[in-house]
Amino acid sequence: MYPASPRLGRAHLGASTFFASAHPSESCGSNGLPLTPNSIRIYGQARALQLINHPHLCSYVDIHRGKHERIMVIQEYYLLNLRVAAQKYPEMRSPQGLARLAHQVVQGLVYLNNFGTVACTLSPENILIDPRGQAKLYNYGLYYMTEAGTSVSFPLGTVQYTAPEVLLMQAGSQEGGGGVTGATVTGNPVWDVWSLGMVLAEILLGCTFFSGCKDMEELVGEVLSLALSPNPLQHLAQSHNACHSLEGLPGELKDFVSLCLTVGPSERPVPRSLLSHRLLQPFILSASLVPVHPHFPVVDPSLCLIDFAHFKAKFSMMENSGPTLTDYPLHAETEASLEFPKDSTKPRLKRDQLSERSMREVYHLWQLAGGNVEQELKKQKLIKIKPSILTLPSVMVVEGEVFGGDISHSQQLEATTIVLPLHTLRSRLAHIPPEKYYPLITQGESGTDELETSQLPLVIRERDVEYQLHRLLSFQRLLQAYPHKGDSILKEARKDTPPFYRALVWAALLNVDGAVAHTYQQIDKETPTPTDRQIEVDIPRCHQYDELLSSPQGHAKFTRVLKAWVVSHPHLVYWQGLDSLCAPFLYLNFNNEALAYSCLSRFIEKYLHKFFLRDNSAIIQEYLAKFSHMIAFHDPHLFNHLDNIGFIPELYAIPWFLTMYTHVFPLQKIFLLWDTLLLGEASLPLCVGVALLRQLKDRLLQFGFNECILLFSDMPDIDMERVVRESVQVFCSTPRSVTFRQHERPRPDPSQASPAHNAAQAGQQDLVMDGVSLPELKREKCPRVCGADLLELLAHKRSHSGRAKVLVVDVRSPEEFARGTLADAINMPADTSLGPDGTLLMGPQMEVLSSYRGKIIAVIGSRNGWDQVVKFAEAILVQEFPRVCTLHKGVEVFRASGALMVPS
Amino acid sequence: MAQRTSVQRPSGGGQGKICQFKLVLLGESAVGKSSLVLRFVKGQFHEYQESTIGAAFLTQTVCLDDTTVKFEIWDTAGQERYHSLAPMYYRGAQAAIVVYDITNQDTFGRAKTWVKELQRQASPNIVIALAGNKADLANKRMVEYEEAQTYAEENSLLFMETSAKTAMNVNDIFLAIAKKLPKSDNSATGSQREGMTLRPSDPTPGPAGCCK
Ligand SMILES: Nc1nc2c(ncn2[C@@H]2O[C@H](COP(=O)(O)OP(=O)(O)OP(=O)(O)O)[C@@H](O)[C@H]2O)c(=O)[nH]1
Ligand SMILES: [Mg+2]
Repeated sequence: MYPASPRLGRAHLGASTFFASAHPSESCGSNGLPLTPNSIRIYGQARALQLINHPHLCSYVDIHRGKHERIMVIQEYYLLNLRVAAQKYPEMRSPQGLARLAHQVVQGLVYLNNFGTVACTLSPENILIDPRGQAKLYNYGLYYMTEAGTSVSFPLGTVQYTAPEVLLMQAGSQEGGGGVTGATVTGNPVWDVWSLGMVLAEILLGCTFFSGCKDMEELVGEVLSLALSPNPLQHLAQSHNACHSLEGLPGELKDFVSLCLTVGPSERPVPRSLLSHRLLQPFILSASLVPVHPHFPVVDPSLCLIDFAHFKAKFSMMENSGPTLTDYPLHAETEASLEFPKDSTKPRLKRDQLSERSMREVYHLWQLAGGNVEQELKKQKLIKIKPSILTLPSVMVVEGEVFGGDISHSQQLEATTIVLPLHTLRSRLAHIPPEKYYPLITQGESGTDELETSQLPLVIRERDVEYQLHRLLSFQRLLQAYPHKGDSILKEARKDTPPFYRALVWAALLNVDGAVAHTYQQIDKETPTPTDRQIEVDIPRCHQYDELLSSPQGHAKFTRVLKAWVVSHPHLVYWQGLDSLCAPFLYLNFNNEALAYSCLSRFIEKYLHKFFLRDNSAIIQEYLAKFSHMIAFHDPHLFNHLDNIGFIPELYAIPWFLTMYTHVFPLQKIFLLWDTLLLGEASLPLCVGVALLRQLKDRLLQFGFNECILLFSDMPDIDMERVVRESVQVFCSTPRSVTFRQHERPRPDPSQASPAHNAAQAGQQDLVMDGVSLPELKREKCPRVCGADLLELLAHKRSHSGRAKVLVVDVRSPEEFARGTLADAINMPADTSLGPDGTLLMGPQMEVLSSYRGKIIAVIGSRNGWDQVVKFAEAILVQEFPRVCTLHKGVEVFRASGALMVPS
Repeated sequence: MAQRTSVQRPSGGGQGKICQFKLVLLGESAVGKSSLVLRFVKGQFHEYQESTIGAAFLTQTVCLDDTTVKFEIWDTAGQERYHSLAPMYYRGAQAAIVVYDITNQDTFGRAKTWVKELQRQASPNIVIALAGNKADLANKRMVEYEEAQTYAEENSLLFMETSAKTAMNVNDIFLAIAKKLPKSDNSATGSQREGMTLRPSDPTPGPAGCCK
């Protein structure tokens, strides 16, 4: 996903886990409904951390929820932390090394402050050191994701390094909770500065602080006592018998640490102002300190040289990075399979291609290769499985509250991180030649074509790690080139859309372009409007089985995107259902509301033109009438049954179309459906409806009215892949004018000219489809086809069997017929072919007609005899002839075209 | 289609009389119409009950002495914009439940509007019940019981405060309606022709026009 997370490099994927605090059972919010579980709050909140991209902050790769409020976090990880590194490498604890370390940590903190939060967890264990000796803050997102610790019951930081004022605030908050009273996710940046001071002081003084403390209380007491000292650094040195270490230290370093350990929070400097401290002057910034918001079209910041600060940073990064730390700890499993040369200062012979991929990509592929974090945590004993009998409560009161049972787990933060083993993934991909990682998009081939997998069903392709790797590689390239490569994206997406890039592929298919973020930013999403109440009651009911959309963050984002849409489309209004329509876009672009908004707007323009007008009656009625025609056209058997029992689309299909099925299916099914829907025209949804009905045909045919409507009140399980496939077939076998709608958006691109369009150009206005009044549409059961389409069908004539795709039945009198008709038309005069009750009588041409069963049957007549045309079409529809249509505006339309001839 | 009608009948029927009634639920969005129906039909409560678009349909059978009453329930969309669909559902209905939320005064106002519309436009002997839902949230009450009761009496409506969440009075209100409905054979036959009552009877789109 995006913004592209940093490449894996020599990082590991580390997994850690903790518990969110559980609400007391049966507790309800003020609306009488259960409170949102804290794990869901955290899940929604943590998403934004994925946007953090800075060389001194470990990336957040993913987060999962497990049972019993468990949270599992996957982060960039290194095996070496500062505590170990400072002992092992003298250069790390040298004054110069410490100054460099301080500079890197401060940069991380400033970035974090700019992002809008603080770490609150700074400690030697949470500062990792990568193989190049670079500091990387770890676990810095806990404060943010737990909303200042309010959704967990353990204290976030390590007491030794926690600022005294934070300890006081924690003590002030309600017992049990780890929260900081009155704190917001913004926090106070100076808290981390204290922690940094403590971390540096410890290394300077060469000791471990407060190691003699017996219990937590004493420890807290020690830290608080520092706050009473006029010079905490001196105090620490004295109490740890390390005054000698302070002597001979460079003045700047001592001053820097003392400054960090300023007792009064209001006098203590924030990270940003530390950057201008003398100690840090020799160093250049490693990267921009301002978080970059996700772009679409994708601008890869690493390719962007215009930003000079960034440019400089890229360089300094290389200068600064220094030599690789010798004897860096190796992870047994990973490195063995990697064949790193022992002396890693020499260029490696075989580049590890996987390490060039982004961490999020690697993690995605790892999962596809069978990786599962929860399993991994269990294997490595971070999740301990207790026999369930041990966790049973011993007492349960009538109100549902339980006592006893082992729920002690939530009291502490488990500090251990496990490394996700990548060897399975590596060996799955080992045989792929390096050049495949750099596909050339100009060649117009995707690299997957030669894979056998590309012929297999979608479910298999989506789970095949190798296939997906190739898809990711080519889509990454194409998306970086968007909008330039829009056509290729469409072409590739016709094969399938890799779930990893779905958000961006969809945006590309919807032609989203321009100042997406800017546009969204300009919209007033706050001012109350009369629609607010409806939005507010709809959101908590919209796809709430999904943990992201049901999180408070999800609700807030939902509200903003919907309000933004409503205010910026003054001629349109909020209809219930717009919320569902927004859901897939919000889910996919959870970290990019602006893109979610743009996609939603583009989608509505294309597929739901005018549907959200205050008065949409004409539009919906027309749509439903066309849908009814489509059912008759493609499945007369089903149509006749539904028609007989009065099961009309008005009663069940409004939510289908108004929400493009998003109110009807769960998100995973919607993705599958929309992957195809977005490739097609505005009429494709009608075809989807037909395919849906046909999948349920057996049941519908047996059912009466009540059972039919009950079936759709609670949509049964649908094989969506089949629906998608069949709807494309339906689409391909439907002449375009059949789905013509007066209210559809004028087709914007004349280069996609249809025959109808060409005809219109040629001034043959009569040959193209145009509006038909609603009463007429509703009265007719079969769709109309336009003259141009009919001519084209006739031109397509004589496929392999020598048979035309279409049979033209002229229902005028034999005299009129003889004066001129379409080539190969048969004459079945309505007057003599239909009985008084409108049924079809046996006649000489019946045999021909029957032989065309399954082909398109176009009923034509004169403009004045329109009723006869309609009646005749209905009569053969009753006989369950599929694909019956009528010629719009009668035979007269062909007069000028020269298509009429005297029948032989 | 006709050959399947027998399936509609609850099993074991035969001794007693079977009546079918069409019932419609009306009221502002999010007052709990769908939740009431779900509680009545399936005995469940979903806190994340999806909003209703257009309308939903469910059936439930209750037994009253020797009569089996089958409700065909149309649960409509509450948003004001969907108003124009409503006649399609209440036309020909023998009963209606107009729902409001006791914690929201506006929804009570809206309920009164619905009652007026039913009195004017629905079939003249329609049985109307007023349900003050979310009674479990008594501490957030904005509509007094007495106020609603007085209004119900003045308009000869059945009235109960209900809670789809706790199931309070949910079956009761449907039963009270069932009791009040005439159970002579001819009255119930209106809806015996399944579904047919719903079709806009004439081809010209009358007020049943969709989403106006
Ligand atoms: N506390 C409480 N909440 C309820 C009760 N009934 C419904 N709710 C909640 O109120 C919200 C709306 O309920 P719905 O049943 O969807 O409302 P509706 O009237 O069908 O709304 P529309 O379909 O939009 O017209 C849901 O979140 C329900 O969980 C109740 O009796 N008590
Ligand atoms: Mg509802």
